[in-house]
Amino acid sequence: MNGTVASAIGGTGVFAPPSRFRLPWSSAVDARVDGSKLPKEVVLSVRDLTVAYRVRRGMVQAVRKVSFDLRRGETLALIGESGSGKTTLALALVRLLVRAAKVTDGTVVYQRDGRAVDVLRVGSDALRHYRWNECAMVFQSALNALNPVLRVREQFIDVARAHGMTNRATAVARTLELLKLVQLDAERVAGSYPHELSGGMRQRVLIAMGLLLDPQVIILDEPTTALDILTQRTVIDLLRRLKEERQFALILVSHDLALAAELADQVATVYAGRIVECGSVADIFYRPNHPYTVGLLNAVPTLSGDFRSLVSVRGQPPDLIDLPRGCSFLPRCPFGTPECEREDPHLVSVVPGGPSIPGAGSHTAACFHAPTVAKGFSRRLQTEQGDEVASPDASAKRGAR
Amino acid sequence: MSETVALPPSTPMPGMATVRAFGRTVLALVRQPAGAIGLFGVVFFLLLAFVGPSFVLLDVKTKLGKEYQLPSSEFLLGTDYQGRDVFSQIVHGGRDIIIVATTTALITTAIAVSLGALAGFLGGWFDTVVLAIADIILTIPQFPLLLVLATFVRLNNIVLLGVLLAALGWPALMRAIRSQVLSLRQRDYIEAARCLDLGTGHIVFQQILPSMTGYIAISFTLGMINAIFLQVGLIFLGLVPLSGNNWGVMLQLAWVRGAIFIKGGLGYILSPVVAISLLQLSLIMLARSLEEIFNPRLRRGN
Amino acid sequence: MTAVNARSVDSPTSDGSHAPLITLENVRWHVPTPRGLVKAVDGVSLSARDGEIVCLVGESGCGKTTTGKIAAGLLTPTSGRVLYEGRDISSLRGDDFNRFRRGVQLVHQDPYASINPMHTVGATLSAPLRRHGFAGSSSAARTRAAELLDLVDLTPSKDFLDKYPHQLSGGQRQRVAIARALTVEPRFIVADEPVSMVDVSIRISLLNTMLRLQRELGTGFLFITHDLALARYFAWGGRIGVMYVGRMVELGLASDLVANPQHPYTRALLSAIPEADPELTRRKTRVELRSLEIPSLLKLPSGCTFHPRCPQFETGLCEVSVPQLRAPGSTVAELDSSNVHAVACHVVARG
Repeated sequence: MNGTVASAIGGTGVFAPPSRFRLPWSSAVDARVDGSKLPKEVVLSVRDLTVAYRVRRGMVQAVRKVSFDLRRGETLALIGESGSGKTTLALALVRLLVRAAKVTDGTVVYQRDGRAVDVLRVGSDALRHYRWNECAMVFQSALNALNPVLRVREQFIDVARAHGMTNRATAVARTLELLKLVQLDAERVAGSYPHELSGGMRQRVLIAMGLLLDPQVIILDEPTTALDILTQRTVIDLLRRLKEERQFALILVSHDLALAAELADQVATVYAGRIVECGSVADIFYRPNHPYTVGLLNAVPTLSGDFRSLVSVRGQPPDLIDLPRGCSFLPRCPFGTPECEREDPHLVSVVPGGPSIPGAGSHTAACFHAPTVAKGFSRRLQTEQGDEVASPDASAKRGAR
Repeated sequence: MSETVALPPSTPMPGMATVRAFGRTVLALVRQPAGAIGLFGVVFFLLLAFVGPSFVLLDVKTKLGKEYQLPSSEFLLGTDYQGRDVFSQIVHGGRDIIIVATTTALITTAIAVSLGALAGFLGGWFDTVVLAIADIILTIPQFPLLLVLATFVRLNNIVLLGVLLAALGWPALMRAIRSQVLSLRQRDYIEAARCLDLGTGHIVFQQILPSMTGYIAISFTLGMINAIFLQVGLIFLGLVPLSGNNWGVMLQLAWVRGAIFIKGGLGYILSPVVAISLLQLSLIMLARSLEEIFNPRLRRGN
Repeated sequence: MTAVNARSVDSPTSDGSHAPLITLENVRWHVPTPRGLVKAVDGVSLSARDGEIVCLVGESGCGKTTTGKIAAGLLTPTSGRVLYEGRDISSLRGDDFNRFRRGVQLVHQDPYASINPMHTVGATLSAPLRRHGFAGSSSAARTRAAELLDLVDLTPSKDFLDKYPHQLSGGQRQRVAIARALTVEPRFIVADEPVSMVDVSIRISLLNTMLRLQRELGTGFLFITHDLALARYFAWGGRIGVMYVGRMVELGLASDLVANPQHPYTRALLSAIPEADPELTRRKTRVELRSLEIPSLLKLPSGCTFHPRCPQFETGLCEVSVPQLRAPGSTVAELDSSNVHAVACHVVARG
């Protein structure tokens, strides 16, 4: 669905804000959010976000009660397999969901200069301004996201003009500046059509477009997936440099653990529409507490170190329409007990008394057996499990459906 | 490998699948207004032509004094120049038309599909020869050729007429099938089948053609439409011996007897025209809806 | 025929006289297009012994897929030869050809495109079984199909026989594709990026299944991938060849090649790949390239095709002649280097 979403919303894959000085929402709307509770450095605060959409077979529970805080300059990676709901979650943050999808619960609060607003509750005009002001989303498919019949320069100017930057010369100057910033031959690229650019160049053009109106949050959906290794490296290095220079907050949506290891400050593993574990990049990679995180880590081949036998997470990704009872990871979990079937575990701090909302300084996991899982994990000595395989009972269950 | 109990043979499955696919298609058809009307019309005419004659006796008795009557409760569609009931002639006159149309469409589709599929898949000299023949036939104007042929061949057999029409009708469809196959043969699963050496026959008839069922169904319907036009045209021009009873013959007789100039002949001359038009319209609507069902690019929404 | 054997393969290896099962001899795939001659594969030599795992690694457009299709006999190289059991496959006729045709199978990258959506899993597997006489009746074919599904870990197999591809996940489809390749009991399988379209969480189990097939059935693999880490995992006991725009630039034992890369391109690749270990990956030293441009296949650079990007470029050497794939210090170009770590680089060859 990722690629189609971009085209569904019409050509340009980047949603960037207009003049950054207009604050069109009313204070009445503001009142809905108690800004004083939010720490000043938090730019995005999500609580209990729930998204569902209807398909013929039933309701897809794409996002379930997701909460997190994102601070200025921080990078959060949402990691999960396809169909885990991570892209829907990202789209909900900018209210770009497909029509069938509905946010059924929760708040998405952006905060800037002490003003906070819940984008899920503002009117459509205010939303448009707000959305484009605060948050740019760069979609996965870099080819589809650009209009094939317009030169890159014109596409930048269109976006700029649509959001209040009416002076063409200023817009052009800004375009060239941004293209230089993403290490492109600015003059040449600005005058090119998208098809004349390579995949890596297009991806960088989109990132530049995302920066056009200086949003404080940028969401990147699988920014490196379609790129070759060397190009991927350029994009990663570029993103790292940009976020240091510009101090925007970054949300990376990816299935690629290595990308998270490279760029993220915080990592959230998403499974069946929920954040099942969230912590600092070191917490997640060296001290995981959720069996799914462990499963993902155990399935990634490395280039260094000795050969170690790897094991996949057994079974199949969950069916978001017909979720298992209790913990949705249970059918694939090696740690499952009857308790897991009775109740879906909440996301709680793995440190007694720690904050239970994912964000800087917290490490949370949604698993009754988190301590056992954590104790059993040892990155370097991972040899005890033998081999594979696709779990018979999991496929049997699927087969029965 | 453990206890593999002798499993039931897999033969019933494809049948079941076909039935299910057919059911799905019919359902999808009925969901669209045009499709429902088209399907209803076609079924109606099939019943009229093949079941109707068992209930309605063909009126062959000349009734003096009842010539050229307008529709009435006694004669639903009026009477002809000999006072015979037009309605009974309509009921009995559809069979031949539909048989010729179906024969033609069947043969056309069979030739076009097998030649087109083989030409597209094999390429090479076979493709060149088939294309050349098709191009030659395509360049000859069909109707005049039929006119000439009709003067040499006695087309008193309706199946023979169907074969003749088919012999001239296949090239266009063949070209279309061929180009479809050309694109399908690029698919990975065809390459896999080649790699497994499954044989040309299997690849063409088991792997490629099944995914073209929709297209073939549409072509079949369009073939019927074309055949009806050609055949009625030939009969109307008197080039096919006027044996038996069908709408084309009715139309021709009504025309040469001058029914058009007689007020009471209205029912007589209009009935076959309307019957033919309605059958054609049903087929066209059916074809259009089939196209919408099978061609995802034409599908609206989901 | 046997003379070819002797010339192309000099493997004084531990495996002794084991002749290669399949050999690519300097194959090229040059396609004329309206815009010029595209040299998709430009002189690749490679061989694999029975049951051996060889990985081809490279970025998109490097010709690895085309090389795989040439090895599988699905493309006829525009020059060069493919030998199966020492015999040129273009000279094989009748039964000999059939033995090759069945002996080398292909697993495609995209399991959504490589399985006919109109056929059930059972029908997909039965067709080759019946065709090649591995099953005499449809019930025998069904039994055998079930066994094959068990073999690729699609269990319980009887639940899968009557399913259509759209009822399966990507990983399950790929297992069906592998089972289909196994129907004709091949000795060698060309697997073209078999896991790139499969979810991360189940990739490894698919690879593990293939590794088990290699162990249990002795099936050799040509595993094509863009992911060096995956190649290292899969080919731990075998070899990795690195390709760059149509040529093989480095070939060696998997463990050795990754730990001790020689060619500047391989080094650049290895230094660029992010790893799922934050400290390690952030500490990595990068090989800086002189240019990010990937050359067009229509207008390849002269000499070594990597020279415009190469950090070790030397004027008057690299752009002048095409470096041959050879072991460092050796002057003999290797057509096949069974256990040798061979590199195609002037600078490295000079030592």
